Amino acid sequence: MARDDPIAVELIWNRYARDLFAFLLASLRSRHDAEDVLQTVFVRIVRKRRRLAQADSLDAYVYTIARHEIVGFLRQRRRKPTPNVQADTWLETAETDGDRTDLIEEMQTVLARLPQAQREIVVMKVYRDKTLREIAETLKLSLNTVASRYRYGMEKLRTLLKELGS
Amino acid sequence: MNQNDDHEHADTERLLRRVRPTEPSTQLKALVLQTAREAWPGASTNIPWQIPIRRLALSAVAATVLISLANLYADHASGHEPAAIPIAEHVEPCDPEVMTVPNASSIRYVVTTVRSIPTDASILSNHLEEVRETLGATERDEKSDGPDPIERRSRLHQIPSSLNS
Repeated sequence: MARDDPIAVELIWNRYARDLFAFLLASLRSRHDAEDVLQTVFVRIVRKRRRLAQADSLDAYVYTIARHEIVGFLRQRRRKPTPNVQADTWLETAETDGDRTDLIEEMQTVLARLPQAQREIVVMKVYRDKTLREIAETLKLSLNTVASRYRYGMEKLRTLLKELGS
Repeated sequence: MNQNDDHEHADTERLLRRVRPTEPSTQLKALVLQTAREAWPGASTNIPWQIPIRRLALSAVAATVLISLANLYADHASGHEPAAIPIAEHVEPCDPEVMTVPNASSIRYVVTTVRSIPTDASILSNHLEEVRETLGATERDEKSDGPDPIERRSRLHQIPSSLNS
C-alpha cells in the first residue's frame, strides 16, 4: 500500500478476507449481502490506501471501514426495502456426515436472536478464534465491553439452545 | 469470567462449532480483486497532514461568512448605516479660475465674520478728527475773508478724550 502497488490488494485479501467475511455474515446474516458489502469494503480500502498505509492499527482501520459500510448498507435497506427477499444461508455444516440443513437452520435461528453487537463478537471469538483482547483492539472497544457482550451473548445462546433441546 | 462460566461457555461453543460461517468463494475473490484494481487509479490523493489544515481553512471561511452575515443582519435590523466612516477617496485641487462665483457657504462665513468684528473706536475718532480739521480750516478761510461772530463757529462738539484712547 505504501509503495502504491496494486499487488497489495491481493495481500490484503489473503490477510483479511475470511475474517471480514465472517464478520459481515454475522452482521448482515445474508451471504449475498455480505458479498456485496465485502466488495464495497475492498474498493474503499483501495481508495483510502494512502491513509491506510499510515494507520496505527491496520486491523482497526479495515474493520472501521467495514462497520461504516455495514451501517450504510443497513440504512439504505431500511430506506429502500427490497421485496421478496428470501433469507439465504450464511452458515454451513462443519461435520462431515453429509447435509445437516436442520442443524444449520437451527443455529441460524438461534444466532439471529442475538443483538448484532453480541453476535459479531461471538462469531469472531468462536469461529475465527480471536481472543477478547484482539477483538477489543480490532473493533476499538474496551475489553470490558467485549467481555460483557460475549458473556451475555453466550448466556442467551445457551438458554435458547436448551429451549430447542440441542 | 469465572471457571463455571468458562465451562458453560465451552459447552455452548462446542454446539456452535457444529456449524461455521461460509467461506468467500473463489469467484468472489476474483470479482473483488478485479473491482479493487479498477478502483486503484481513482484513489484519494489526500495526504494525512493536509486534512486538518483543510478542515481549519474551511472552518475559518465558514466563521467569516457567519460573522459577515450576522453583521449584515444587525445593520439591517437596526436600520443604521454601516458602521464604517465614509472617507473621501480624493480631493480635487482648488482652481482659482474656476471659482469665479463663491459658493453660498463662503459668503455666509464672510458676512458672519465681518459682523462679529467689533467697531474700532480709534478709526472713528480719527475720521471725526479729520472732518473737524477740515471744517476748522474752512472756518479760518472764512475768517480771513471777514469777521463773523459766533453763528459761524463750528457746532461740532469736542470729542471726549476717552474715545481717543
